[in-house]
Amino acid sequence: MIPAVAIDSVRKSFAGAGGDLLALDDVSLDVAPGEFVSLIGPSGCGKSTLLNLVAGLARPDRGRVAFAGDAVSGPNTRVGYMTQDDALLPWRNVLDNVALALEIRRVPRPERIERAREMLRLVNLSGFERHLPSQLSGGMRKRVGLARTLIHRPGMLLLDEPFGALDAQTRTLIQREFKRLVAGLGLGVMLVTHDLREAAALSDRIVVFSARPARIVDDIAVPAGRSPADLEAIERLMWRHLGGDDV
Amino acid sequence: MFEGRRGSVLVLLIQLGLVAATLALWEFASGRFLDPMLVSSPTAIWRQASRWLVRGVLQREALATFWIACAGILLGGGAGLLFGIAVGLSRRLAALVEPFVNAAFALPKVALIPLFVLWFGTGDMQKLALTATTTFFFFFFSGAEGARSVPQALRDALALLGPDRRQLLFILYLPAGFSWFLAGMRTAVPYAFVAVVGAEVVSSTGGLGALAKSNAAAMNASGMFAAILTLTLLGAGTSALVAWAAGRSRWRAGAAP
Repeated sequence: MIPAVAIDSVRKSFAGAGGDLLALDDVSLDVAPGEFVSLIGPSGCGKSTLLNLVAGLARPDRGRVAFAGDAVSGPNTRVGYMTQDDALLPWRNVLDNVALALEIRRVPRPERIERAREMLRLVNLSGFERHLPSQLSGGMRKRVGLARTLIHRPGMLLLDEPFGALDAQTRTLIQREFKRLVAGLGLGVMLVTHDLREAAALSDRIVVFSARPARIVDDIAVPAGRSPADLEAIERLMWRHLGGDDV
Repeated sequence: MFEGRRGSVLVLLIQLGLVAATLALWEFASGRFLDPMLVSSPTAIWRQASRWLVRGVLQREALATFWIACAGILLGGGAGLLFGIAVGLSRRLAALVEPFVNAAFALPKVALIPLFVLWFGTGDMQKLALTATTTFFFFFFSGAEGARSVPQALRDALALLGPDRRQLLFILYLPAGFSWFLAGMRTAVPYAFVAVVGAEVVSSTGGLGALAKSNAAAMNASGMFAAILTLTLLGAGTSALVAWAAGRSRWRAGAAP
């Protein structure tokens, strides 16, 4: 089976004030189709860089990144990508923001409006079609972003701390909703997060990175049953990897 | 005192009073303390203006000036905006062209009138060339700033949807930098009139500038003032029209400068 994402011996550095900054050093990682993988590690360790390589927003200095068997050589239009930033166009209403991907693919207006309405129903935002992003709460904007990302049926989702800016209660709600949506669509996900509980609750697999330059320290499979005891053991394991004291 | 609805009515009344007082003083002083050959008088200017209005002279010349200003903004502004956006998006291109653009911007554009007359003759083409050259820069700078003001997150998000260049321009950069372009437009409009009228005065062919010049040459101060006042109204009216159109735009929620 061809992996959804194949990252092979990738190295990436950035020009910094005090010389080059090595973000990733010899990282290899495969993600199977439909797999939900969380990437965790210390702040600024290069997890986001890895995501950007898969998205084709950056290129590796060395090594190879392939998506569904094809080398990634430019913006990867087959993935959905969400960051902490909503990246909604502030002058467009919710409906036109969600329909954006279809507009770019030149889907006729009646069809794209129809599909955007359907997506908004899916994320429980019916009735807000004509609102501007600035008139919505952070959680609602996040759901608009999700609808916009899902509307062009991406092969995979790349998420960089998408729920980081939300308050705890909204975050829990959105996570639950998100999990249900993704499971329903059978979508593969790569999720960068700092929230260990989020990683344990959502993923099939958790990849733990070291501090910069990022190397893979551990690759944890989350048992399908997700018993509270399993999740707690996994959280404790991640906590230890990240240098925390054992509790 | 000047706040609220009643305040603004008061301000308007005071402004009208100032205008009336100035006109009255002008009328009174003309022929008593000041030479009417030089300063004319409000009533003489009005007589001249109404004669011209009846014959369609003012309308014709104002239209000639107006359309060159518009065409110049469209041509020079469009080119400036596109080039500016390209420069705003590429640090390499910006470094390459910056010294040339700065040098060309520093050159007083009226110095080009003789050159454009040499190239294009004294007709509309040289006026258009001067106006386009003048307005180019305002749109160039606002285009570059507007493009730079677009957050990286928006660029990335859009890039992953696979737009072509035209879509990037119309979906992202034009609306996102809209308030910058508007700022460029606001400065460009008065300067477009500076350019057209400058070219008209020098080449003496058509437009309100040429009308003012030929009447001054004929020692007809009333005609000159009538042309100048029409020009003032035309410039102010055009600027007001731009401001009004901008306020109605659906892109005005874009990032503010």
